[in-house]
Amino acid sequence: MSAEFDLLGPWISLCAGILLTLLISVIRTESKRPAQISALITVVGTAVLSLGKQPSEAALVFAGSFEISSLTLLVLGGLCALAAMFILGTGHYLSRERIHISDYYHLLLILVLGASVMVASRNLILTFIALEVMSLPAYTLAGFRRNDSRSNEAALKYFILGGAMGAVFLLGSSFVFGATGTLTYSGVFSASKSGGVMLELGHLLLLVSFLFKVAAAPLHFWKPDVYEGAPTPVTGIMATIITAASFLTLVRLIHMIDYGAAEMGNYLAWLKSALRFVTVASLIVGSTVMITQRSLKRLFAYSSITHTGYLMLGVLGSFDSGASASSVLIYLCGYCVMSTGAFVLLALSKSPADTGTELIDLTGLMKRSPYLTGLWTIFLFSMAGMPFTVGFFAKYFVFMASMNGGETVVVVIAALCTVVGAYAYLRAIALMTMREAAPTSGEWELTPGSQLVAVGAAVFVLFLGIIPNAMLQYLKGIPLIH
Amino acid sequence: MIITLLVFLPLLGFALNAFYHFNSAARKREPSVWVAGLIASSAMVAAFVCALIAWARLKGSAGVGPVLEESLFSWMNLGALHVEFGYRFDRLSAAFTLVITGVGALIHFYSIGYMENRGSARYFCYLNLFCFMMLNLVLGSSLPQVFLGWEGVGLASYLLIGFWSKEMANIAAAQKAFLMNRIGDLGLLFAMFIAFKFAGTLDLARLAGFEFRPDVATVFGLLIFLACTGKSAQIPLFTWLPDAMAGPTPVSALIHAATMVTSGIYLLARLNPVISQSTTVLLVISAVGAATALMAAITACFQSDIKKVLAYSTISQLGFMFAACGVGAAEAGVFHVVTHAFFKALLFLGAGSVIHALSGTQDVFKMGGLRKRLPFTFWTFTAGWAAILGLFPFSGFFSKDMILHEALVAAHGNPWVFGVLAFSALLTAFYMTRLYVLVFFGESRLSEEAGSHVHESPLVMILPLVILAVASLAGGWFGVPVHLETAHGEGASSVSPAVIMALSLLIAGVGAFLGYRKYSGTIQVEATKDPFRVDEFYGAVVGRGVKSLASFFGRYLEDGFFQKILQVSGAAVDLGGNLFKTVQTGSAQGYLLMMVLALLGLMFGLVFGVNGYGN
Repeated sequence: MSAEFDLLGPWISLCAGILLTLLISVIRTESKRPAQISALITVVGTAVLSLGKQPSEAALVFAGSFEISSLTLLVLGGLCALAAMFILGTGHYLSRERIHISDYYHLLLILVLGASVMVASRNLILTFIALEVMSLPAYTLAGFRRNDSRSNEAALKYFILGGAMGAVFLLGSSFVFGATGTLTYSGVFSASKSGGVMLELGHLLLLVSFLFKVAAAPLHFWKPDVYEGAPTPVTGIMATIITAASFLTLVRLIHMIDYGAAEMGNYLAWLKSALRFVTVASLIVGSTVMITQRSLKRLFAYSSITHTGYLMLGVLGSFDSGASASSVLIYLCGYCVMSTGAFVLLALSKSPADTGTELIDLTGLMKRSPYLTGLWTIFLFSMAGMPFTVGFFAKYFVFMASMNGGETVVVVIAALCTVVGAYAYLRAIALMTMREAAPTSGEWELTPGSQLVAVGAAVFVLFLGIIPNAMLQYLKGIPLIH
Repeated sequence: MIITLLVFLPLLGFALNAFYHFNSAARKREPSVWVAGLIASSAMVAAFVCALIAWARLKGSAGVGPVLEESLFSWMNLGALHVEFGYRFDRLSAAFTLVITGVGALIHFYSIGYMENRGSARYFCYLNLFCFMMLNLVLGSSLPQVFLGWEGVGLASYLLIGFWSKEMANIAAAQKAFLMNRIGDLGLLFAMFIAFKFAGTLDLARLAGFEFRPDVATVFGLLIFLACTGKSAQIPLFTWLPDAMAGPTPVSALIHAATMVTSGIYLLARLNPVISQSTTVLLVISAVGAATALMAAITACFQSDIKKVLAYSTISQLGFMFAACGVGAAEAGVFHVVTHAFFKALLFLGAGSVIHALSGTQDVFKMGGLRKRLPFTFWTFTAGWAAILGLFPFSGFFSKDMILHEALVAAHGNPWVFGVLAFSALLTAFYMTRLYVLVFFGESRLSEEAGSHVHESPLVMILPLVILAVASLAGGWFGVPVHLETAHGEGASSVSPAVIMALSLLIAGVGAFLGYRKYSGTIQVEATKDPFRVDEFYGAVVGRGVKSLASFFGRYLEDGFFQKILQVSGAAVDLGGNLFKTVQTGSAQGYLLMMVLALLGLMFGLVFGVNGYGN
C-alpha cells in the first residue's frame, strides 16, 4: 500500500492543496489573496512533483483502475501548469468583474483533479466519477458572473447538455458491462475479441459522450453559447484543460476495443468512417462559421471546434494500428499553450462583459499598444499554423499521421479548412495593424501577471516553432495507450 | 564552447543595447552614444579575443585540416532531414571570423565618434546584430544555418542603409538592396533543395565531399553563384551597392566593403570542391568576375561622390576575388578578402573622416588640399591608397599579385581573364589616384561654409584608422591564410611570379601616373555618369517588363480568373457558415434535440449498417 501512496504522491498533494485552499477560503472569506496563493503553490508544487517523475513502466493501482505512467503524470503536470498560468494571468479579470472570490480557486483545483484522474482512469466507473468531478466545477465556474443573465444561461445550458451526455456515458457503460461483465478497460479489451452488438452500442455511446465534451460536430452546439457566456478565464480553462483531458480520454476510450479482433472488424470499419465524418464536419463547420463571427469568444469557440477536427486527424491516422498517437499529444501541447496565451490576452479586454469582446475592439491596436499586438500576432499565427510557431509543427504532425494512415481526402479537406481558418486569424491581425481604431473600440489593459504569462506562452510558442526537436522526441516517447 | 561564446557575444551586445534603447525611450531620454557604443564595442573586442584564442587552438591542434567543432543541438529532425545547429571553425572560417571581429571592433569604436549626435542605441543594436548574423554565416555548420546568417545580414544591412529614415532616398536605397538580395537568396534556397534531393544532406562538410552528377553539379554551382552575385554585388545584381552608400559611412566600411559583401567568396570557397566539379560553373564565375571587375572600374572613373568611387571600387575588387575563385584559386580570393577588408575599411573610414570634417560634403570636386588640414586622415588614407594600388610592400601587392598570377597559371586559368584583370588593375590605380589627388592635393575648392570649420576627427576615430593602416601595410606579409584543396595540377601556362610582380607594379605605376597628371593641374569639374547605364537599363527593360507582365496578370488572371474563383468559393464558404449558423438558435432544447438526433443516427447506422439487422 505504501508503494501505491508513493506513486500517487502528486495526486495526493493536489488533494491536500484543494483541502487547504478550501479551508483558507472558509476562514479568510473577506480576502481572496491567500486562496489564490495557496492554489498557485498547489498547482506549481504538483506540476513539479509530477513532471519530476518519469516512470519507465506504467503502474496500475486500485485493482487496476488507475494508471500511473509517464503519460498520466505528464497530463497532471501539464494541466497544473496550465492552471497556474490561468491563476497568475487572469486574476485582474476576476477583480474587474467583481467575481474575485476565493471559491473560484478551489473549484478550479477540483476541476484539474477531475480532469487528471479522468485521463488516468482505467475503469469506466472511475472515468464517470472523474468526468463529473471535472464537470461540476466547470458548470459552476461558467455561471460565476451571477448577476449576468448570459453567464447564468451558459451555466444552465452547459449543465443540462452535459448532464444528458453524462447519462449517455452511463448508459454506454451499462451496455458494455452487460456485454462483457466488466468495467475495467483491460477487461473490456480482452472481452472485445468475441464482439457483439451490445458492446458495440455501448462503446459508441461512450464515444458520443466524449465527442460532445470535445465539441466535435455535430455535437458542438453548446460550445459557442457557453464560451460566450462564461467568464473569459473560465472559457480559457474549458478550451484548454477540459478539452485536453477529454480528448485524451476519448483516444483511450476509442482504443478500449481490441483492433485485432476479427469479430469487431465490421464495426471498426464503420466506426472509422463515422469518425471520419465527425472530423470533416468539425473542420468544415468550425472554419466556415468562424469567419462569420464578430465576437472574439465565439470566434475562438469555432476555432476550437476546428482544432478538435485537426486532433481527430491524428486519431484517424493511428486508428488501425492502435499505435500511440503521438501527433495528438504534440498537437494538444501546442494548442493548449497558444490558447492559454490567447485567452489570457482576451481577458485583458476592458469591454463590458455583457456585450463581450468583439473583433472591432482589436482595431488599431497596433497604434495603441504594439506590444499587445505583437503577442496577439504570435498566438494567432500559431493558431493559423504559420511556420516558426508551434502551431505549424502541430499541424504538420497530425497531417503526416493522417497521410500515413491513408486519409488523403480528409487531409486535403483539412488543408483547405486551414486556408479558410487562416483568413479569420489574419483578418484579426489586419484589423489590429492596418485599421484605425473605431470610436467604439474597447480598451485593453496590461497587468504584470498577465504579461508574464503571455510572454512566457509566446516564447514557448516561438521556441518550439523554431527548435521543436527536444520537445518532439520527449513527447514521441510517451505512449498514449497501453 | 569558445566558438559559441564568440558568436553569441555580439548578440548579448545587441540585447543590452536594445534594452538600453527601450529603457531610455520609456524614460523619454536620449540614449548616450558613448554608453551604447562602448557596450557594442566591448562585445566585439571580447569576440575578437575569443577568435584569437580559438585560432591559437586551431594552430595547436594536429591534423591536416584542423577543425574546432561545437554542436549545440539538433535543429530539425523531420523524416530524412537532419540538421544540426552548431559551429565549425577551420582555417577558412578563422580568416573570416578574425576579419569580422577585428575590423568589426575597430569600426564599432570609430562609429562612436562618427555617430556622435546622430546615432543612438538603435544604431549599435543593428551593428551588433549584423556581426552576430555574419558570424553565423561563416561559422555555421550547415547550409540552413548559413542561410539564417545570409538572411540576417541582409536584414541588418537593410536596417542600416535606411538608418536615416527621414530621407526618402535612403529608404529607397535600402529597399533596392533588400530586393536585389532577395533574388540571389532564391538561388541559395533552390541550391539547398537540390543539395537535399541529390546529396541527402545539408551539412557543409559532408556536402563539400559529395560527388554530384555532372549536370546536377552545374545547376547547383550556378544557383550558389546566383546567390553570391546578389550578396557580393556582381553582374547582374550589383547596382544596389552604390546606392547602399546612403547608410552611415562606418556601415559602408563594415558591411558594404569588409564583410558582408565577401560572404559570396566565403560560400564559393567553402563549397569549392563541389563548384570545381563543373568547368561550366568555373568558367561562368571567372568570366562574370572579370567582367564585373572591369565594368565597375570603368564606372568608378566617372564618379564624383567619394563614397560612390569607393563603392564601385569594392565591386571591382570583389570581381577580382570571384575571378580568382573561377580560375580555381579560391585561396587567392580569400587572401584578397582579408587584405581588402583592411585597406577598403581603411579607405571608407578615411572617407568618413573627410566627410565628418567637411560637415557632410561628399563631392570630390568640392574638396582639395586637405593634406595639411587633416594630417592623420591623409597619412592613413595614403596607406590604403598604396595598398589598393598594390604597391610593394603593402598588403594589396601580395594578394592582387597572387590573383593575377593564378589567373594565368591556375588549372582553369585563362589569358583573357588575366588581361581583363590587369587592365582593371590599371584603371584601379587611375581612379584611386584621381580620388586621392582630388581630395588631398591641389588648391582647396571647399565652399566657404564647409571650409570654415574643417577639423581633424577625434581620437576615437583616428585610432582605428591608424591600426587599419598598419594592417593594410603588414597584412600581406604572412602569406596566404587558407590552403584549400584546389586543383593545382598543370596550369594553362607557366609564368614566373617575378614577371607578374614586375608587371603589376608597372601597371600600378602607369595608372597612378596617368591619374596624377590629369588631376594635379587645374581641375575641371566632371559630371557623374554611369557609362553603362545599368540602372536605367533595369528600369527600362526589367522594370517595365515586370510591370507589363504584372498588369497582364492583374487584368486577366487576377481580376478575370482568380477573382471569380475567390468570389465563388468565398460565397460558398459564407453560405456554409451562415447555413451552419442558422441551427445555432440558442435554445438548449433545440441543441439537445439535435444531439439526440445525431446520437440516434449513429446508433441506427451501427445497428442496421454494421450488423445488418435490416436485411
